[in-house]
Amino acid sequence: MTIDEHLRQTFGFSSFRPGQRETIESLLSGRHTLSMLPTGTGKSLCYQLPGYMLKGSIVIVSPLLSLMQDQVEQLKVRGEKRVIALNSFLQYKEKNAALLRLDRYKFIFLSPEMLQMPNVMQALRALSIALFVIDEAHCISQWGYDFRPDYSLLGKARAALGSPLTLALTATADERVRADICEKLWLDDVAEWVFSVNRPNIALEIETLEEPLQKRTRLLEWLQFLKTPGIIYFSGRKAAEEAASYLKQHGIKRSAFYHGGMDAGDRLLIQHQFLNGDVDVVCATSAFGMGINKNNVRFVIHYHMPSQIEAYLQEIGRAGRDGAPAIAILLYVPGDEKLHEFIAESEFPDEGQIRQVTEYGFHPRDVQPPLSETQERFLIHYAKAADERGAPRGAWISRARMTLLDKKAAKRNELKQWIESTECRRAAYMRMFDEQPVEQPQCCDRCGFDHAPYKTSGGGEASEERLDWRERLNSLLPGF
Amino acid sequence: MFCDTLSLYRKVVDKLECLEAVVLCMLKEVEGERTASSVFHLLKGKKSAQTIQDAHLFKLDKWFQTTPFLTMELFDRMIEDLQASGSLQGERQRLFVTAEGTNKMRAAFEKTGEFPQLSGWKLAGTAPVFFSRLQLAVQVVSHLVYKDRTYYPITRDEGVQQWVKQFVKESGFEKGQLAAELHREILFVLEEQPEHPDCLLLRFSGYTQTGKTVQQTADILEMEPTEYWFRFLHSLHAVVQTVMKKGSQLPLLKHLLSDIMVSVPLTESARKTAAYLHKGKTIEEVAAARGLKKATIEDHVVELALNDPHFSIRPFIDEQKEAEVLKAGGSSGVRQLKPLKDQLPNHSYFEIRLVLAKESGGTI
Repeated sequence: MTIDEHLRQTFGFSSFRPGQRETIESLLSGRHTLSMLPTGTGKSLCYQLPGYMLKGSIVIVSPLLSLMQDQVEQLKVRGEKRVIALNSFLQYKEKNAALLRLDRYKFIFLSPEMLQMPNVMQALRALSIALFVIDEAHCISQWGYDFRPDYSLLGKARAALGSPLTLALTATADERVRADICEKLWLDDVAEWVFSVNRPNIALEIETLEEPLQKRTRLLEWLQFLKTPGIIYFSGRKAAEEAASYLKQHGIKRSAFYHGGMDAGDRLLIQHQFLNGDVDVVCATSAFGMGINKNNVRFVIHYHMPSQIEAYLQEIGRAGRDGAPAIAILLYVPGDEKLHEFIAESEFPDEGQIRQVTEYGFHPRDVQPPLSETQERFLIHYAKAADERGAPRGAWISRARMTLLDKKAAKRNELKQWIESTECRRAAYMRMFDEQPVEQPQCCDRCGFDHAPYKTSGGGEASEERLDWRERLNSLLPGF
Repeated sequence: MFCDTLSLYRKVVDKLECLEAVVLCMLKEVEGERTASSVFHLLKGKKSAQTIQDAHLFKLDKWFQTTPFLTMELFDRMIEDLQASGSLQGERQRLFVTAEGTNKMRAAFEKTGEFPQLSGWKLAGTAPVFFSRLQLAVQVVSHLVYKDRTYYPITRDEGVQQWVKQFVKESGFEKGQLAAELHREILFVLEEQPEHPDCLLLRFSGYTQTGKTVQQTADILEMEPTEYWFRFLHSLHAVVQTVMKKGSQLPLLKHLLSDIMVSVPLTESARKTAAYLHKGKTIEEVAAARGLKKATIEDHVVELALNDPHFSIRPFIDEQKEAEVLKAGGSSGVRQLKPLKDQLPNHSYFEIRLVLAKESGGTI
């Protein structure tokens, strides 16, 4: 079968989205490939389709457990049974059983730390790996958004697996980050496919308000105006919950909240409700959205400023995947960036916590106050890095912390400048990614645009019918 | 799934009347004899000898492990609120429920009842697994009968997924019949249980509806979230008990309840001690062999007496002494050890605890 036939028969699509064909053909011609495709354009197809044309296993390294689960589930829903995710969720026994018959799987998803485990590496080496995929590849670069220290060991792991054909996928990486990705993966001859970060069907609006209290009223006004479904992003869990209940009280009945502090089962239900159209508006933290395949999201609102432009683009990219008009709105109050300063600090262990490990020899798990998962990972990684170089641990870790904090501050500042600039929003962010700006209709608040395409036609709020419980049971399980 | 389902931030805003009533009711039972923390441990289902013993001694076993969402922080705040509002008197170590507190509790229970079929001790392990299987079974069968193959399963637990897959395959029913039979059985148990059927039904996903979270169901039914939580659990426990009793009429549900592995909730350490005792070792020998204090091993023996109906206390106390404890305990109704010990100068504390444990263990 040709790749077009596979697209139709295996995936049920009639045409490729921008970048997919180029990436797939590049891989099928045997070249290592780095593809930068804007969020919402179907990156996973780029390795799934070749999976059906190449002999051997497809190994996919993915940074986030929830993302991995979503991808596995989507493959399974399509009827692909030869999928497995190797991660810390697996019980010891299940993992060993899976490793013994790893060759039975076509798609093997891994978290990066799995590649540090000798038994996993041994099982992988016994396979014939057709394609080695690094999803969210920007995480490998110190300069990239959402840097993950354990990603930086992927180059070594890749070499240990015999340097198989490699695909690095990312949505957001400027030139420096792309160069860094190739270097860290020990890739020398790479075909780079870079597609525009611009999503022309998403109009951009930034509203600067004077004080935080005005945001709530403004949010409600927007929601009474806008066509749903939509997502509203918040920086904190509490804010997301409060907004959801405020919206409900004010007539936006089909809204819900979603954040990482919720029970996994509840998170899944909210996702399903959103996908099935039971919920139209989700008030969420950044934990929501990765791996959620919903094409008709009509708006993304940022109630708080995101941490950096890459996060912003990633999140607004969840709107308008169907190509129809969508709008991204950012509500900004000067000083919003302080919140991210605080969040950034909390991602790293503080000096006291570092000293407990480096000077007093505490186990990271015994540090007080206790370390978060991210903090612990950071500490362990840089302690190892210091040892390898024979550098003193304390100083090394502190320096790494300072460097990363400075970098985050610079990124934060860049976003703040973008918000405050009087220039065209689209032109400005495209330039940040070394792209030639384009002019287009329905662009942004600086260029001016018509809001009519995003207005609700009204009557969307179907009245909540309360079925009698017997009818409910009868419709769930008919035939009695 | 099942825990942390109540949102932390909502709890700050709302008065959790139902949970308050439950806490007051439990404190009333242990009044003056146990600290507030012992109630917390009971609600969380802490697997320590002390907590397990308390559950039976004070007849609080139905509340055992019924609030997975509860945090120490929330509990402390609730106790402080109850103190401030005059429902509780005394300090945390020895709290007394005031008349006002009793009224508050009664008023809350008037609305909800005291959840008579709740059975935390017996079902805290079984019920969540059963519910998870039932949720997925309903979803799978619903989509089967509507001939829809593309949907996301309501649980990501692979164990449950595998189990339900087998279940559907081996059910022995045709697709249409399977839905009808599952419908019949669910209708049967819903009619027998004491709460509004929507407490359970709204939580199911299928072709025609997406399941609601705990919080959402509480909102829809216009209940305070912990009230909904206890009603839900009450309903679920009642359903499980119906299936246990009338399994022959409910083949599918009976099957869903089968081979759920719930071990006797022993602590790991008590389990090890049990193994030594089994080989005929004495308490002193076990203590020496395990490098533990004698008192610790005694705690284990008490725990075993509570949990294992076949455990004999005879090696540790003779019939006559046992009868004396039962007599003293029966006549005074005292469950605090000190007054009993005063009446029984020739008994050790261990012997008294052991008899009380065996007695209450037998009644569940």
